[in-house]
Amino acid sequence: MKKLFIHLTIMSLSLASQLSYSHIRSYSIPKPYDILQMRQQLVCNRRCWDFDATLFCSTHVKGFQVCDAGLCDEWRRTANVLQTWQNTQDGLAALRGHEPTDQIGSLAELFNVQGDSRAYAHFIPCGKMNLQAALCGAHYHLNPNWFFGLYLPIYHMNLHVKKWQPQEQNTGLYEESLFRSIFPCNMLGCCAHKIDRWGIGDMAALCWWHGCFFQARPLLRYVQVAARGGLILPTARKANLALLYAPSFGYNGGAGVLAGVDLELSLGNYVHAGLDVEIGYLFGVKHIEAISVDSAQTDLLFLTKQCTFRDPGLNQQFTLYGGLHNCTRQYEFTIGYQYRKQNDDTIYPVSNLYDSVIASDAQTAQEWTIHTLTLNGLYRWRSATFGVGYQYSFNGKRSIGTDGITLSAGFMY
Amino acid sequence: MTIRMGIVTLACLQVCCLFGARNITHPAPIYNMGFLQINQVTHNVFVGASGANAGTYALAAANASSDFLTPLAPQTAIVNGAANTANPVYNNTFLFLDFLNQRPCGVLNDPVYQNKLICYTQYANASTAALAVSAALKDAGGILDADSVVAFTSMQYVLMDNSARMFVLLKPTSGAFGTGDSAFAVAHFDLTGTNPQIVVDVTVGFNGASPNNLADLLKIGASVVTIHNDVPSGDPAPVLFINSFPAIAPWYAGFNVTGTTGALSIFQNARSIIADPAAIVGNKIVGSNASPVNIAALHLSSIHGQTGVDYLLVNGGVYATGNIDAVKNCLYALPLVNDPLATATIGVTTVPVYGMLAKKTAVPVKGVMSDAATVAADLYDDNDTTAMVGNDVAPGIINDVWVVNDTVFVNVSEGIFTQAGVFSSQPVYAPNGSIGGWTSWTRVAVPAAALVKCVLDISDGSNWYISAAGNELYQTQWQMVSSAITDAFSSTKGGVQGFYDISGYAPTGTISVLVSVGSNRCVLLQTGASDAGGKFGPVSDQSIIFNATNGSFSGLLAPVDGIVVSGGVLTDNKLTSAQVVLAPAGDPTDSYLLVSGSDGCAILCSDAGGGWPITGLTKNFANMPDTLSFRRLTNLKFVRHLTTDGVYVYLACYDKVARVRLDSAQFLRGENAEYEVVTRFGNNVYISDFVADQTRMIVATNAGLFYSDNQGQNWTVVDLPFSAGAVSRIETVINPLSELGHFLDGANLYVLSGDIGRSQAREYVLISTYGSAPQLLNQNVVPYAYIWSSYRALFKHFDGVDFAAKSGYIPRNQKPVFSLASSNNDAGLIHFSGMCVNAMTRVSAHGTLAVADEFNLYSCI
Repeated sequence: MKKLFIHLTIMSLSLASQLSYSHIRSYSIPKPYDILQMRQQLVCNRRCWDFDATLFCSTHVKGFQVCDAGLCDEWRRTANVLQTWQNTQDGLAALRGHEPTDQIGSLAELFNVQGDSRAYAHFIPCGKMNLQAALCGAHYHLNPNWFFGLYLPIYHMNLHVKKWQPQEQNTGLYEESLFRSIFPCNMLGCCAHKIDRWGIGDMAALCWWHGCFFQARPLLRYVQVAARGGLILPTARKANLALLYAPSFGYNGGAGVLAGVDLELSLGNYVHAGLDVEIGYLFGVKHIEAISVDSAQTDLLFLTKQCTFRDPGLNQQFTLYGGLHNCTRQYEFTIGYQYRKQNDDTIYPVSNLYDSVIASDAQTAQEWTIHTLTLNGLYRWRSATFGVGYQYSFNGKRSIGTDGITLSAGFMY
Repeated sequence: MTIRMGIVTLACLQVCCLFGARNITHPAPIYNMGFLQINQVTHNVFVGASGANAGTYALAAANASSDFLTPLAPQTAIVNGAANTANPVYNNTFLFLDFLNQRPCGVLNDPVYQNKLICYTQYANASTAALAVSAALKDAGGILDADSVVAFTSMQYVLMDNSARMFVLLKPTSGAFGTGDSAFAVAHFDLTGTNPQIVVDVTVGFNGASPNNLADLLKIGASVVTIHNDVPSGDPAPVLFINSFPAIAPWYAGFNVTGTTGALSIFQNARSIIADPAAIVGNKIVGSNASPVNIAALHLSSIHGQTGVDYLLVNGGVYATGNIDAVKNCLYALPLVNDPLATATIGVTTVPVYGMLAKKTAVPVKGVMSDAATVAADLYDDNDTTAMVGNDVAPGIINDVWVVNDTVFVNVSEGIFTQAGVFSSQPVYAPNGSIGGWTSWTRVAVPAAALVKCVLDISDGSNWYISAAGNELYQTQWQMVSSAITDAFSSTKGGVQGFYDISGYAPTGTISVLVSVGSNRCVLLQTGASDAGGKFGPVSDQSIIFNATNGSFSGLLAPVDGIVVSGGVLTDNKLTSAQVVLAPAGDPTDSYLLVSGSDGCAILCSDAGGGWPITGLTKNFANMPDTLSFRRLTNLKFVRHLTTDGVYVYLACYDKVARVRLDSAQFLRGENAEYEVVTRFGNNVYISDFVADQTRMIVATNAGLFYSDNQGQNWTVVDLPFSAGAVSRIETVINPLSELGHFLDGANLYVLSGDIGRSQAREYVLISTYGSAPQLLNQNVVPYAYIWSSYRALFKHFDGVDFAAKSGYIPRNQKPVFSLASSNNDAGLIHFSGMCVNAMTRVSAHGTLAVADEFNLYSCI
């Protein structure tokens, strides 16, 4: 028994699992080129540079679940970050889809995978996540209407997997005892531990056009229009397949293009309101990732690592905002509502062994949305700006809400 | 309900295996039914009346979806194309009823119609009934009509353009059958005209032209029945059987005859003999040269084996004058020459021998036997148990014989030691493909009574039967059985996880016990016992249960119907397996029960090392010692299966197999009992099933099937077609004739491969022979369409039908659908309330297949 235990423990090191393909884009963490962040960017009537940086520090990170067609048991709108995709993780389902003689498949046979859906091998994951981000931007202004920007986020993620608790169940089955006896909690790389990672995200290079049109109307004074377009460059730190949950800080090696348009109205001397729309098209990427090979598998326990071609869904972002400012706009207070959405990804395993439909059926490959409220205060002093803000995510599905504080500063020369 | 240890409680528990068959009702008046046929395609049954006042129910139909008989005999019907004609079947009774080409056909027991053939051409309901009625059949004289049909059967006859044919033996116009112009005739449907007609064949096909619709002359006094030129006297009620298998299509007629210097009881075709007269020396099963001799063939049938061989089933044999009952319970299987080109020299002439008896030592080549019996040693003697179906005489006088797939069923009257009922036996094939033996007679799940008729629906394993009183029709059905066993096991703890059936059916058996195990608990329940008259049969009263809560029988006071054991070393032991062993090296007179599970193995024995007496245990657990208690045996954990070879008990864990010598001294050592590791697999290979005898071991693993002929020192993989992958279950059919302790030599293995990765499952049938790898019995590997569980996949070859518990595809977040499937109905028979089929066994005392999930026990009863 001891020998087998050691054997299994050693084997577990090579079986460590991870989330299939989560990326930080499904978080409500602000982007450096969000229109709400760009408000600190100064209007420059000459050729000049300006730099800005925003520090984001999470106060609470939570998951938003989804319940399609009533299939979930105990569906909750918000959940622990590790329960974003499922309430429990199925240790038996994780073993499916393999040859009966390989490491994983033999365990499937041993633990009687197919014949039993009882919950004795289900685990309740629970973790606490902290996120910090530094959102850096640099702009070069050609004239009052055109400027270029380079944006690079830097992330620090700290995940403390507090519990990996077997679901309380006494089925009275032989297999349950066997499972509990020889299936160490770190078999799947998922015992209580801490994951601490930092790295850069995907760099964005955008070209902006900005126009301000005076309106000789009693209420409407100005109409500002901004349009942007550019590239998302695959500079982000990739997902770590050896860890339970170590998502990519970007698109995991994928590039994309994005375009956006913003319309802002100045009403009287003190009020502004605007609408911003941003569409991101992500190119498909070929990489190795952990995929679902059986539809019963849960997203934290995908043991099959396979080269795939992933075709991401369309990324959309809509922002409504409004606020107050003084007549010189030295002080500005803005409240914003942002809705982000990404359509279903399609995963094509580069293999005849696995099914694209099942792989794409993973929760993390399906559509996600998130709704966020943002409060920002801005102070302009000469060539510098200073801001402070708070964001609160209140709804979504298959996404992670990051409530937190932002501090920003920028200067121009 | 908490019951204190040692208290015998009267629990209001329903019985384990009540006969809860579905009654198919019909309006008054009650009439007697005598005939039952099943259409295995539509699963409809047809019931023919044998008693008066049947009215429109003289012929009726029933099916699984209705609780009512549908009458098929209206007062008027379309008869030979004429509408509104008086229906001869209405309120009549049958002499014979058969089922041919989807149509009921037969002969009426009526002076007007007893020499006419009747066949339904339309019978969807009573209002649209249409019949074809033949002209009166002529006897061999051809001038006068025959008196009556004395034997009838029908079939799709391969040798005659594969069309539907009816075959009859005819009593002549005057005189007894066997005399004068007794005849054999063949008729068929003529569908070419406006109205279907029954036409007697001009050429019967066996012996050349027979002009003017003459039936073939058939005289028992002819040489085909006699040997040594003596004339035996015939029985007026012969049996007729047409071998229905394509490979061999002769017909056989059987008689009860008396010869002065020898006789044959069977002849084949009109003028061919069943065996070379030179081989009839002494008392053979079908003939004798004794003088005088009485010999009978009371029932005939045939079996087409899985290996392609053909055997003739003969009920009867040589008997002393006035003592025909002595052979009424004898059923033999005799090999047939099924090579159409085979010839042999009989006398001085070389003749075709197709359809004659083959040598008992004949070796089939791909299922074809060519060597006819020509000398006495080639034929089985009438006391040869090798040829005896059931490995012994039937439990009682055989009233009926029928075959389903390769399983033989008999309907017997009450025997010396056994209550009446239906029993079955299946062949055990030899390595060369011939039949090497037969499993012992086992009761079939119908009431313990001499039923009028019984048929098996192969799609779901249910039995239709006409009650012993003859006036009621029933169908057994899969249903939940709320029983003492299921009440003893909590559904929240997985219910019953394993069974072991202690069969009491034997001439001296006095009690049968079903051992059930599950989480922390073991239940012994009496399922069969001898009644006051000493006749063994099922029992249904299981209301008195003794609860032992400390793992001990202390306080047990017979009579009780069952014993529930928990506590002691069973605490926190998720039991999966049970096994009863003897201890030849210690106390050879005692039996011991072992159970095993997650916490290891436990044995039921006394402080002195004794078990319960082998022969002393009688009805209601009388003589069960109250000194027994479960104690741990070895310190092994996670013992998944127990099996024994008579010398050792094998403890199969998931990663290794160990064995403990069967010695009461070892049993007393408890946790310190010595064990020897037989084998330990590594490299991701885990054990799912294991069987062993004193020479051979066979193990099923996720990496395939392995065998060893040297006590586990070396293992050889058994090549299975289609890349079998994981093997989950081995079902062993043992030849009772095998040498004690060497039961795997010649055993047939039904192996289930369930491969989750490929979403497929297959059944392989193998023959185990020492010195060589188990070989495929045939190439008909049965695929199952659904995903199968791994080692939990359960499997039984039961009454000619392969049953397996399967699981459906499990969508995300949905409960799986588990069901029982058969080789004839892969879509599933029943869906269980639970999520997983835990255990399956044949309850021999009742003849039921018991299936357990965590909530219920199911049986087709």
